[in-house]
Amino acid sequence: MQPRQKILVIDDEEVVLDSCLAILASGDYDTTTATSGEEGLRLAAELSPDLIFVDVKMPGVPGMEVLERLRAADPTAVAVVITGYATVSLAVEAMKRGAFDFLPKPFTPDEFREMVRRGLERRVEVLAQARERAAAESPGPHPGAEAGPMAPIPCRVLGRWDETYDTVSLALDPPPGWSGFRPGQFNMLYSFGIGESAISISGDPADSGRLLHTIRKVGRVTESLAGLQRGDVLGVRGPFGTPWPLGYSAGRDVVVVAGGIGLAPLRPAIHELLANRDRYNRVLILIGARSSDDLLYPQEIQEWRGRFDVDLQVTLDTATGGWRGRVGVVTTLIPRAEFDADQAVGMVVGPEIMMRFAASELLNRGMSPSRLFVSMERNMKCGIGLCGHCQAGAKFVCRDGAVLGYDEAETLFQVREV
Amino acid sequence: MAGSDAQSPNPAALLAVHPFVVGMEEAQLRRMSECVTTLTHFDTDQVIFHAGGVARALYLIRGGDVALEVAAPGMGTRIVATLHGGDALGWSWLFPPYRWAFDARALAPTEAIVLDGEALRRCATEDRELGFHVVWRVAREMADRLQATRLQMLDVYTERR
Ligand SMILES: Cc1cc2nc3c(=O)[nH]c(=O)nc-3n(C[C@H](O)[C@H](O)[C@H](O)COP(=O)(O)OP(=O)(O)OC[C@H]3O[C@@H](n4cnc5c(N)ncnc54)[C@H](O)[C@@H]3O)c2cc1C
Ligand code: FES
Repeated sequence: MQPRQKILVIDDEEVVLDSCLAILASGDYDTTTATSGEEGLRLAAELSPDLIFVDVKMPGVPGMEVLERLRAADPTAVAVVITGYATVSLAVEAMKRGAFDFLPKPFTPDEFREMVRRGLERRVEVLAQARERAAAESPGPHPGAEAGPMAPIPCRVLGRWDETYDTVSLALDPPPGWSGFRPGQFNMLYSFGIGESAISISGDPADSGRLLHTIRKVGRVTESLAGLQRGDVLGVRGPFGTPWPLGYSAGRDVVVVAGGIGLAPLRPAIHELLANRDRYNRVLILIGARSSDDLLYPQEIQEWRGRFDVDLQVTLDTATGGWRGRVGVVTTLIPRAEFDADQAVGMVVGPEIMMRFAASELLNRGMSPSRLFVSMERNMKCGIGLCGHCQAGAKFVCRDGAVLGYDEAETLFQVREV
Repeated sequence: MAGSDAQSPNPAALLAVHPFVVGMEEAQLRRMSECVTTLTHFDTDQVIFHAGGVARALYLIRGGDVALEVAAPGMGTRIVATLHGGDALGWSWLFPPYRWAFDARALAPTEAIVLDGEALRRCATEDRELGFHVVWRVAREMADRLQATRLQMLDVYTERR
């Protein structure tokens, strides 16, 4: 017999807890309630519930922090946030922090039951994925990638939010059998009836529950992808491409240089660096953006900046009088950055011109080109080294890249696309 | 506009450890330190100089952040670049008509070693070797700034290949 699924509801309003208990009484669940964040966290650690509801507005430990701590303690935890009408923006924030979905108050018994059904379904999938990943020897590139998965797998949009005026993030339900990705890899995202684009995976590699992509609207496909809404379906193939050399970087200084949308493909690497901070020597994160309106992930940047073990600098190309930070192109951060060029590893992504100049500053500092890595963008079609569309010199960027050593990439920068 | 002056430590001694003078010889450094007038502090948002004003000094920033900015009618104030600890602020004192081209404003509490522009020009003319070192350093700052400005003008983030 299947064990009964466990549900935990954390809310400071007793009437909400009572009505949840009443609604679930007829179902085959073990339901537990907690009236505060502290109690909820304790019960979650004790019971490992399959589904957790968290009210965002509570006295004591705030719901958002409860959510974060739940997800940190158990990345397979499936949590739904309960919000008041006035706090939908908080719900979006919660999705960014790993909530599976949100439920606005007041809700009907049917709405609650439906959320429970979907949340528990999600939990089964997440656990299956976690088992598969544990079974796989390494979280390396998707084995199917080489076998030629040309057919996109339909995936549901779990959440969507604006990052800037022209850039959007999508949280996707990972395809069945998804066994994770390595920082630096990308997916081919297919907007049905419109077309396909290579888009880097921009989320935390430890977050198996959803697949994040950050998309800048530049043309037909990206406009259409960015226009998808929660519940819409798109096609996913991947993960493809080479990862950032994080293993190789262990014990070394790591200098991450991101320009514009280039922060998206680097964010998973930053997550990995910070999650395993003691594995690396100095960690420097140098971020450039056109203006404060173009800066991606400002809240996370704030969090990273708050860490004492990271040297993070942000610089804007242009700013108005109210800006308190640096102004100047991102390459100007490199000459005075504190790292040991003799052993440091560089990871650089941005527009090609920016990468060239950033690379030249890093080389000026004495960094060896063999320890400098960039991610190249070329128009792609197949994504698996078959069509030749992405060819640059003797390389197929989709298969040999997109992350390449600068000693290889340097010559390719000059080579026009075919 | 000057900020509050500090009595100690000795600004000439501080000059010797500023990146601007790295590689200078003892004698040149001594000569240059004769041009040091004060060690000056600027509070957040304090204006260091105004565009159009007479450029009398070279500021070697020891710590803090300085914005170079232009106020354009209808556009508000735009920050053109920021300078930080270790940077040299201002080269207009070196070339006629000795007028500042931008406003400079402290973005955070800032400390700078102030060198008298006219005295520096005189020393540089009398001691050609010192003159070479000073002009070379200013030229290097200008070259770096020019390269950064070119990149800024390329507006690489909107450009697509
Ligand atoms: C490995 C890889 C990872 C990528 N990761 C991301 C990402 O995380 N987020 C994101 O927003 N974009 C990313 N891109 C770029 C994205 O694939 C393109 O912007 C997209 O394919 C453009 O398609 P479109 O139909 O919207 O625009 P199109 O109509 O095809 O093109 C619009 C304009 O963009 C230019 N363009 C098209 N494709 C590219 C490209 N690959 N590189 C540079 N310029 C291009 C065109 O020349 C044209 O000027 C990545 C590309 C690669 C190769
Ligand atoms: S996209 Fe087809 S070979 Fe790279």
